[in-house]
Amino acid sequence: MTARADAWRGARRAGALVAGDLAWGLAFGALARASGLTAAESAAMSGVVFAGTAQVAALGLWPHGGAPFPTAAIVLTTLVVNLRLVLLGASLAPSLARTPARRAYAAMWFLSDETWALAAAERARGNEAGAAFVAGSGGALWLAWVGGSVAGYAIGAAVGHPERWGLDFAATAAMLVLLVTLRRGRGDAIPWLAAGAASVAAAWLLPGSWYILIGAAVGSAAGALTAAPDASPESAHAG
Amino acid sequence: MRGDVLLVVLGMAAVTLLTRVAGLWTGRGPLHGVLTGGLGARLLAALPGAVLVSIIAPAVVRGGAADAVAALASAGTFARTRNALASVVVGVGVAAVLRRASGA
Repeated sequence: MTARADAWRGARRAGALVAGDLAWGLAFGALARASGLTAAESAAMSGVVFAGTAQVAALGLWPHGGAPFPTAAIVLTTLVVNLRLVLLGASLAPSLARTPARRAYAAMWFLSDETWALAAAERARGNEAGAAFVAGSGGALWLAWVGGSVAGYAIGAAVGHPERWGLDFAATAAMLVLLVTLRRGRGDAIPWLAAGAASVAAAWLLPGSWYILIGAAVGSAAGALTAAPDASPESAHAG
Repeated sequence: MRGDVLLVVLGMAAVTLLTRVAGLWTGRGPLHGVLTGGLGARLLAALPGAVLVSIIAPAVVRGGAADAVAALASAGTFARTRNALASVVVGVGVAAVLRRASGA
């Protein structure tokens, strides 16, 4: 009963991000069509992978014409792009410590930047965000992502380049909303500036998506070192 | 569905699932004590904002002036209205208009 209520709360909180994923899904569907995937292949990828950045990166490696399929390169790129999910999953572990293993791991199927950030924002409000909340918000986002992909494929020819419609910006805008929600005050300035500088520099210097992990590590370290000693561990745990 | 595409999609799904459960596994097991007190907890407290900034900042820099203005419009809309949907719509709209204006 309370699990169901938590799941609904998660789905409701996901609102704006659902819109963001829908737009981002439209962009992916249109790109998938332009890259030569069939409608079924595009929908299947969104349904079982459910990781937008990795899927777009995979399309970037998709072979043209009769070129051989770079299976290993695509799978490896997916792994690297999604390595940040390991970090996000570990950060959810303390709040899921008393959740039965089966439920906790099942909820992780829905782990993404969005579900995780929603859970962090919910805890910042002083509410619990357990397995049911993650599954509820993740389920809503999954429907939006898959629905958006299918619709984007269908209207792909009309959409053309999704960037022209700003559709790819929806993901950035949704993340910005979460960032503003997470803001705690002046103490955020140093870790956020450190994360921004490190990620931009890493994106410029290194190939692939390592910049997310590098920026996250630098920003997190800067935050840990500059946090007031009395802010830990209770308030840190609650946040 | 073509066989080689099926193989790629399943491979992508498998490694993604691995990254989704690996964090929880280490956090429940080997790293539990590290994550719940002292430095580990402080690192985790700063992590959410750091990850979001690290996704947003390079994307905005890559997008140039149009994306920077769209990001400001989007964040400003949310800070003022607390309406997340409106700020996504404003961000997408401003990005679309400015990119066209700049011929991107």
